[in-house]
Amino acid sequence: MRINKKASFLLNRQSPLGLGILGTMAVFAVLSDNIFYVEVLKIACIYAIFAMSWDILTGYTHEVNFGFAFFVGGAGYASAILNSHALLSLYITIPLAALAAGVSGILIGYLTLRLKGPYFSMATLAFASILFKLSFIFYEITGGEEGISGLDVFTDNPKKDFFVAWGIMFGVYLLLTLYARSRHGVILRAIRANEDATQSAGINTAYYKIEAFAISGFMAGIGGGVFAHSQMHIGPTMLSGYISIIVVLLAMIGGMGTIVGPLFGAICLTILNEYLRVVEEYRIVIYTGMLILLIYVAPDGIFNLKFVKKSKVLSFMLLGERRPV
Amino acid sequence: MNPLDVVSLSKRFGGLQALDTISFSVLSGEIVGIIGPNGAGKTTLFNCISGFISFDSGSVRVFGQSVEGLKPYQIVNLGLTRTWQLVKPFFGMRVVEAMMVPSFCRRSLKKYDSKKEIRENIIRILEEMRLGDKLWEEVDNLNQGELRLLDIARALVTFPNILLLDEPFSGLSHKEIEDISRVARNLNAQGLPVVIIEHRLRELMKLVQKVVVISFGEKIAEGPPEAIVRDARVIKAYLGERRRKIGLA
Repeated sequence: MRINKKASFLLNRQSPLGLGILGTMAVFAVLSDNIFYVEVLKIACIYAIFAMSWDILTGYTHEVNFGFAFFVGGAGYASAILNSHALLSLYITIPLAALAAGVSGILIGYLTLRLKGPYFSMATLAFASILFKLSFIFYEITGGEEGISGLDVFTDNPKKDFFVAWGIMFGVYLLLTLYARSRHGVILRAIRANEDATQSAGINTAYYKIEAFAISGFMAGIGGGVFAHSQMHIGPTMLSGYISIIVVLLAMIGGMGTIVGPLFGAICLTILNEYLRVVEEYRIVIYTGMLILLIYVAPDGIFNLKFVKKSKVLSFMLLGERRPV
Repeated sequence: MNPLDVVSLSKRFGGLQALDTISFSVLSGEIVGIIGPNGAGKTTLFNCISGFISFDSGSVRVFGQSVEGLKPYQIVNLGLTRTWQLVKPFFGMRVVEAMMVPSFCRRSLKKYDSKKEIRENIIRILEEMRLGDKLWEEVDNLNQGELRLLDIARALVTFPNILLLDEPFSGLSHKEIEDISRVARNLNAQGLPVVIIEHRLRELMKLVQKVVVISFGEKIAEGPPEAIVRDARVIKAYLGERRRKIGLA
């Protein structure tokens, strides 16, 4: 009875759309024979991990982290180096790399605690570019421009690989939604609204901000490790501004501060981007045009549109919100 | 042991002596008003007491415990809670969520056994504020008076032993002021000491038992409201001196 209650609690506050997307992806991967599609879905899963873990810090505290590549690429490199130089199994290197990313999240969080707004963003940007440069300076370990290739893979079957990525994404999604709905998430949103008022409510805001930073870094580290091993390669692109910015875009278009929004944004936009390869010459134009249009129509993201929050059906379908009358 | 003792508190911002050896005490069960012209240092005083800015010298004791060097949230956990002159509401949340935030502080977690109790306490406080029907409303949709009541409700969820209200009447209509006065009086009737900074003297004088007057960072008078309104130094600070000779400029 007790367990039942807990299980239903887990499910009934989940967004039906979010669970629907995850389910559809799994079913599609089981049924599809086209390896290319499955591969695209796998990439979508990994980008969804990035976007969701970015969201838990920035979406909930509105301190924009523009140096997300630091965690993603850093953990990817850490895992790759441990795997190719120390010959450790990837089941050890990925958790280790994620842990390192989480700890550096604590450190960076502590250092940037007093920074607000653009100053915070610039500091995170600086951390990422330091790592980017380091990957060229220590080319003997990191492989410089070429990166590190020939990493261990999860399985030898692309379909199974997809399910590894999918399973990890599902786990990250559940953990983050739980975290966001717990008192920690409520406090983070209060900090977003007003930090002084949160302090005068007796809350140690510094602690919660650093905690969010650590969790964001840890989850991103998992994503980075999975990315490196599922591609069998990690290069400096993963440390570059490109990855930082694409993650910000995916999460913003989905809807910051909802977890399910970035999940939706990342999966849809990654699939769209690959689908547009049928018109390769115009792909970038159409894709970026779409992004501009989406940001123009829904500046706070699709899941944060006013009418979604107002409508009872939509706010339940998209956000899993149930309000008593 | 008084709820609040401020002893020769001083604070300097560069060349400006914002607070100059201010001392006063709040006795248990008292409502104390702090008044003074604009820029006298009233809000600075509150910020020093509640830990949002550090002070240079002197001491502040909450129930005998010095607050020097403590962070604002630690002072709240000692039992001293404040509200803000410009309300700082939790926009983007529902009222019930905004009220959950202070219930997560260490002080109030200690007082509850179950989640149900937390919820009941929140509802009880909101009903006291006559905000009971706004429980699921979004904070963004409340008006200024309701936001102020919510700010006070936020403070009350932390189970304060002393409450600091920073200009609770500013920008409110007559009826809203009545609401807040009623709330403050009710709280005080339950034995909670309240300190109020206010400009609207007419409403304040009806409410308080003791007034502390600050001008240019110095305490110039302290006493019951009837004596304060006749005090020559207070009148001078507020209205200036009558000029003896009027000459042509």
